[in-house]
Parts: sequence; C-alpha cells; structure tokens
Amino acid sequence: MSIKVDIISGFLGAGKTTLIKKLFETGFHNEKVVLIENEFGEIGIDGSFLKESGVNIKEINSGCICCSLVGDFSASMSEVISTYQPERIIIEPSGVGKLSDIVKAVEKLDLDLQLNIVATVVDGGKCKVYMKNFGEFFNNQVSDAHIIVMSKVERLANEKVVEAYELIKEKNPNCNVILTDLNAVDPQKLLEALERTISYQDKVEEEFKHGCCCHHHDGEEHDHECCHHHDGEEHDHECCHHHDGEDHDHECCHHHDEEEHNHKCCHHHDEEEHDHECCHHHDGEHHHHDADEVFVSVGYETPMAYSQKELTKILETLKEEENYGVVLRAKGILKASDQAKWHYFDYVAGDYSIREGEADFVGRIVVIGSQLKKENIETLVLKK
Amino acid sequence: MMEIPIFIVAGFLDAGKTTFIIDALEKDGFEKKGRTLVILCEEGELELSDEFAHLHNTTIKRLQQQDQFTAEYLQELAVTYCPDRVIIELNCMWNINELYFPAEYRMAQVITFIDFSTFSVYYNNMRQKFIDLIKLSDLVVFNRCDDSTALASYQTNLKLVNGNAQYMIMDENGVAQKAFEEPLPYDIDADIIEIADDDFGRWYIDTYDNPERYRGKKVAFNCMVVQSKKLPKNTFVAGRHAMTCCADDVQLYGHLCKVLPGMKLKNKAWVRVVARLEFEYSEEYQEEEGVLYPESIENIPPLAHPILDLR
Repeated sequence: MSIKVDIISGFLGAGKTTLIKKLFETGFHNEKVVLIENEFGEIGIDGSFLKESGVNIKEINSGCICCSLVGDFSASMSEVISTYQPERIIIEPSGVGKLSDIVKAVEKLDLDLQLNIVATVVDGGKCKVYMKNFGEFFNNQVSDAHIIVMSKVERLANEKVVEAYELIKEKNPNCNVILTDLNAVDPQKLLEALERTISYQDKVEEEFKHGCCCHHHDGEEHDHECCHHHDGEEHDHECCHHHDGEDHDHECCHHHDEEEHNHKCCHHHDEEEHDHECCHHHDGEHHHHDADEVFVSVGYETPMAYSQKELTKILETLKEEENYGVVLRAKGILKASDQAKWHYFDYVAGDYSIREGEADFVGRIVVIGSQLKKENIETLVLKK
Repeated sequence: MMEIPIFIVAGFLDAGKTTFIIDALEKDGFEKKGRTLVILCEEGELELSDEFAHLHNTTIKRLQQQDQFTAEYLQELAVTYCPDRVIIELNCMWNINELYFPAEYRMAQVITFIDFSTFSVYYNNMRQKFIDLIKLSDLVVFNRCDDSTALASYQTNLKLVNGNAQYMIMDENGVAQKAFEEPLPYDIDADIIEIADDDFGRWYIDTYDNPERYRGKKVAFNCMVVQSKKLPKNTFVAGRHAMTCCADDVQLYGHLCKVLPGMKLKNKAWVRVVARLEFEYSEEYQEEEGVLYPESIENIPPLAHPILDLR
C-alpha cells in the first residue's frame, strides 16, 4: 500500500495547526500517522496530545525562508518512513513557501507515496490583502491547492466571505472551497470533505442516471426498492447509501430522520405517500445510456446565502423552459440568510421541496436536464 | 541641487505603517514645510485617501511590483513633483536590499514597524525578512506590545542584528513603554563580573549600550581567540560566533584584547579570559571601542556549544 501524503499549507496564522489538530481528532481510521512540520507554529502541537493520538511528529527546522527546504525534506521523508512505517504522512509546510514546491518535492521522491489531500488554509478576512501584497508565494498556495479551507468565516459578514471566495475562485477556478469555523467544525466531516474525491455534481448526476432509487410500488414490486442493501463496493453511485457520511444530508434515502417524510423518496414503511417521491423511473439501468447521451448537468458552488423566499422563487422560475431548457432534476444545499440551518432542496420535473438541514461547508447546486441554457441558469441560481 | 530626504516606512501588513504616515502628515505639519510625496507599495487595511493627501500638500503614488520601483522612476518623480520629502511605505515582501535610489535622494530614516501580537510566529518563520529590515533601520517600533518582558528575550538578538537602531515599544494604546528592561543575568557589582557562556551576547550588547557600567571593571568569560593581520599589533579579538538567523548568518562578536607578554596564542583556540575592560577611541570606527586588558588568559577545551544560538 502506498503511503498517503496530506499537505496542509497556508500562511502563518491561517489556522493550519488548528485544522491538523481537528483532523487528528478523527483518529484517521486508526492509520499510523506521522506529522512533519516545517513551521514554528503559534499553537504548538503538544506532546500529550500527540501521545493520546498515537502520532509521531518530526520537525524540519529550517523555519526561515533563506534556507531551502528541499535537501532536508527528502532526507526527512525517508527517515520518517523507515523509522515509523506510517500509513499516512501529514506535512505542514512553512507558511511562507510555495505549495507547488512542496508538491514537486513529494512527487520527486522515489518512494511509494500517494498525494491525498493538497489543501491550503486561507484566513477569509485576510485573503484580499494577502493576495494584493504578498505576491507569488501566497497566490501559489491558492492556485495550486486542490481544496481550500477558508477559515475564520464566523467572524466575517457574508459579503466579505463571498468576496474572498470569488478572489480564490479567480486564482483557482477548479478547486473546492470549504468555508468553516475551524473551532466548531465536526472533525469527521472535515476530513471527509478534504478527502472528497467525488464531487457533489457527479453524485447527483449518478443518482439521476441510475434512476433514483427510491420508489416502491406499493408492495408488489420488491425488486426495485430503493434502498439497496447490496454491493458495498458500489456505494458511490447509489443514491441510497447509508454509510456514506460525506453526503448524508442530501441523500435521498435516510431511514433515520423520520421527522421529514414529506420530501424523502425512500421510505419503505409509509406506502401511502407516493406523491412526493423523487424518483419516478423505476428502472434506472435502462435509462442510464439515454441519460448519458441526452442529458447534461451543470454544477455550482456558492458561498452566498439564500432566503426561503428567494430559493422558492428561483425554483419556480426554473420551470420556464423557454429560458432555462428542460430541467428534469435539480438538487442543492444552500446557506440560509433567514435561519441558522441550511436549505436543502430537491427539484424533480417541476415539483420541488425545500427542507432544512445541517450546515455544510459551501452551498452547492446541480441542475440536470436537456437543452439547458447554462448562462441563464447560472444567472438565476447564483443571483447574478 | 538640494537632496531630497527619503523616509522608508517598513514592516509587515497591519503593523501600523499607514497609521504612522497619516500621523506624520497630520501632526508634524509637513504641509507647511513643503510638498510630500508618498509612494505606497502596499495596500493594507487602512488606506491613505487622495482627499486626505490633497489637504496635506501630499501626492500619492502607488506601486504594485518591486520591479516598478527603479532609480529611473524615482528620478522621474523628483522632476515631476519636486517633493521636499519622500515617504515610502514599503511592501513587506519586497527585498529592502534591492531598492536603488538616484543621487538626488538622501536616506533620511528607515523605520520598521512590528506588530508584537504576531511577532513571535512571524519572526520564527520569516526571520530573514525581519533581519533584513532591522539591519537597515534607524528606528524599530514594536506596536501592540502589552508585555514588554516577552520582548526582552529577543533583545540580544535584535541588538546584535542592529545595535545602532533605536528600539521603541508601544503598548495597545500607543503609549511608549520602557524598552528592554530585562535584568542582567550576572552580578554587575562583583569584583570580577563572571559572564556565563550563554550570556556572552547579552553582555557584549550591554557593553555598547551602557559602557559606563563596565569601564575599568574586571570581567571573566570564555571565548575564542581570533587573530588577524588587520588588527592592531599585539591584540586579538576575544569573541564568540553567534547565529542570529540561520547557519548562513554566523558572525563574530567580541572585543579587542591585548596579548599577555610572553604568552603564545593559537588562532581559534578557546580561552578563559579575566580582564579589565576599558573604552578607547578608535580611529577606524571613530568612536569608543571596548579594549580588554587581561590579567590572565588560560587555554580551555572547546565549548560544547561553540556557536551562540540567538534565534
């Protein structure tokens, strides 16, 4: 097995150490972890904490940008691997170094490594001034990250968050951005978000193509039941997984939150409720090919907040075929401007429902249909 | 032609550079003493507005990249605006060692601002940046320092980096605190002042800051003999190498010491010196320099930590 390598970069004071500490709280599925630090942090990761987590720590004491990391680094990595035989190595590089240099240094090593998380922590409140004034190394940390954790958002007005978000997206349009208060975040969820390999859009798309699982034809047709118990290995494409913690809030088939039956697709037990089911084609396999050929999907991420009213209006408007194309399915989670909980919505061929759910890292919207007018959709859903 | 004085205001984002410039323009009555040109190389939280500048007979120029900051550009500004002074707010990531000024300008003062609340983390991770700035500074201002004892541990290092700079410490409310008040780690009133190995730097700095404390007094310490043909006859440097930034940055610090008649010393040998410290005018440095008159010099084994690590 190759050793997972996680790189958590970010400027001094952004919250790298806080984030890493949070990740350690998850226990990393009992993997053997070594942390390599190339920075003298504000919050030391102290010995007792590490002992509890069973983590080894290795400092590369250059700590000064006049000394180059690279020579030291290769030797340290080899040493760490032979001494501890870790399954995962977390690297906290110097806050004033380029992320691409670290990535290159890792890739160049003749060791069995697999780059796992390549994240940069950006202080949401400082993003703009840092970008303007720090120049290359900071912008490199932003542009070369696979995922950006915007920290300290709890201290900021939503406009400031949106502004910082847009600056980040300008430098790195393809990265995922998660917005979070690092002190309050659920560590498990954070780790899952950082390791996320399948995008929300792919997920919703798969769900759509496979024919959403969820519906039960009144008892007589057991075989199409939504909530499959089968094939553990395929859980990425199923819409009704129980075990996929990452997306548990927007899955269609929760067995466990009974209080919200109305827009949920897959209850086995309340047969009287057909009308709100989300999944009208029972035969996912057949539609699969058609779906691939005809349907397109568009996905957006947004830090913006929406009121219930706004969202309702957007979903109402989405029905206008002449402006938006034929929208068959839309799904999303959005930060709410009128409540602490987030809005979770489902739109199926003109019908929609909005419920409230747990706060997430960033708002996401996926729209699937045919002849979609993407520009108009973007303008509508992103309130442009 | 009159030389144009330049004031460089340096330091990290948020350290108080712009506040200082605004204060200077407002309170120092610069506008009555002619025209000021401010070159802003950073866009911080606080912005200097053009309206404010206009009121104070000031022109603002903004630069984004260090490569725009050329001698030619400054020359052009001198011709265009005929300023009586130029204030430059330096970008914290620019290399201060690579700024070039045309002959019309004269460096009046370099002031570095440091936000104490982020100092230890920034300093530990970007030491070279700080050292570059401090080395060239006439004045170093620590802002937002509510606990000046926390700063005291850095004093030897800072003084070694630049002993000529003035260090000012301001608290949260902008009130000046007494700089560097850490008590001396040795007994200044002893018949022979005994300097522990780790305190060499502290002592060395203090002999420059407070020569009166040591004039004519006896001190004892361990050091390295450093001989050179450039030194006056029959003297060597009784010194220690110290590292203020990293391994590339090791320098020798020490006082001139007379040789003992008849005693042969080897270059780079370790010795224990007991000597009377005097201060004498040096033609070369044009100021008083410490000179050690030894009572005894004894060979000793090399120290376990030969290089003073002052980081």
